Amino acid sequence: MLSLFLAFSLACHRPPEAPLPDVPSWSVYDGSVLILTVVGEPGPITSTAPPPPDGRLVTHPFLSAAARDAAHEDQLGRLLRASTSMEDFLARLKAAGFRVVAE
Amino acid sequence: MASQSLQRSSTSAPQTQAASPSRAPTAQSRFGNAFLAEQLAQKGGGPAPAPDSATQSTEVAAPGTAAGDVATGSGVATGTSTSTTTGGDTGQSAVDTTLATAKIGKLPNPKPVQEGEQRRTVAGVQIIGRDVSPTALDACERFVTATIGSRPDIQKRMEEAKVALVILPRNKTMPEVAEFAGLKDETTFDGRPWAEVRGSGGRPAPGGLWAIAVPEENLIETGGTEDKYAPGYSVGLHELAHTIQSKGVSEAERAEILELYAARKKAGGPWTEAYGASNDQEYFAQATNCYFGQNAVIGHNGPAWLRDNDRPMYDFLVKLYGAAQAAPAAGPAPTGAPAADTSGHA
Repeated sequence: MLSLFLAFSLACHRPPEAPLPDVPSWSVYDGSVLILTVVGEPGPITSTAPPPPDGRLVTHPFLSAAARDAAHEDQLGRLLRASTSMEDFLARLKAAGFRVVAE
Repeated sequence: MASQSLQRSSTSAPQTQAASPSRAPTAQSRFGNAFLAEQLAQKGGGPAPAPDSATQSTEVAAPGTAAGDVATGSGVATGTSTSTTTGGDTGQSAVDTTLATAKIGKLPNPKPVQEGEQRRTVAGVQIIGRDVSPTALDACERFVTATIGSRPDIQKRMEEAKVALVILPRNKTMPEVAEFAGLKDETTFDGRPWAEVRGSGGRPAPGGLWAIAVPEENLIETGGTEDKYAPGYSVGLHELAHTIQSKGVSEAERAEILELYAARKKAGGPWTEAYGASNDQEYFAQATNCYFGQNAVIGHNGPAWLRDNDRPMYDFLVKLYGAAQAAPAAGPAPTGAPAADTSGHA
């Protein structure tokens, strides 16, 4: 039981592996202001807020993303939680009036 | 050119070294530079320097308090708190280079909360506190000096960007502070209510400021208010590092950070912790905390760990921040070095 627990803990703290070649990524702008960077692989999502006190990372099943502007985080978070796929999220961003630039 | 701007007053005194485009050597700055030696000698309460000197700072004293009556808390003189109140534009205060090796972290024995607004400018960065202990501003001054105190080029960019550390009073939520009022009833991208978050990276604020939120209870020993972060983790340092990356360093250095992250990701680590692996911004900010021994509990901590596990980033930070707090090339950590590695993740 202990060994299973240790294995599970180690699995949770394993750092993200190097991305596959040609993983798509995007920068999202509100006008000229960069508000979000997105990578098309499952991974962490981060805020402009400091790390949680326990250092725990929030992860997402179909993207990794980093918020770049606190003023937009609430709206971006709601758009993401309403999305069912990467494509859906990108479409919602565009519908909200943001500029999505493929990198 | 970079060394001329914020050290514009230094032209009034002979330079003892050639102006460097990046940084003046620490030893020269501390003792060999006649101008800085003069300014440091004035820390003990001498007359305010002339307006065109590098030591002017603006402190808006609360009613009933004396201008310049600012705590040092730890007993370490700051060198910027004794100038008289001035009106108009905030001046550029001297960089107290003795803080380059001062331990960054919570300051004990803080002075009482001072009503009203307090402001300083240190190394191009404004520090603003309302209804906070003056010692909290001292604490900010420490990590500003330790990071960019020897880089006049970065100071210039930070000043031009109007970077400001805004201290969150221990008894106020972030949206209750003017610069962050727009976050009321909102959540972070990763789902935390901003009213429960203690700190944030820079964002545009009134007056054209780029405001970074830093919690008072993480800067000083408040003796009762719970700091959500464990002792030995500096929120302010982490958040300042984000702005150093986005607005302070040169384009070449910014590109180098991206390259370092890409290389580290390709190598699969090791990382300070999982959070530092998430993207280049968190990689740099967490590495900064680790370098200065302010990453306790959350991840690996101390320059020795960085030197031994991520040498490219370690070398980059030595170049960027100076070697004052770097680990030795080999062997045991020097006296007064940050705490040993308190690894927790990855």
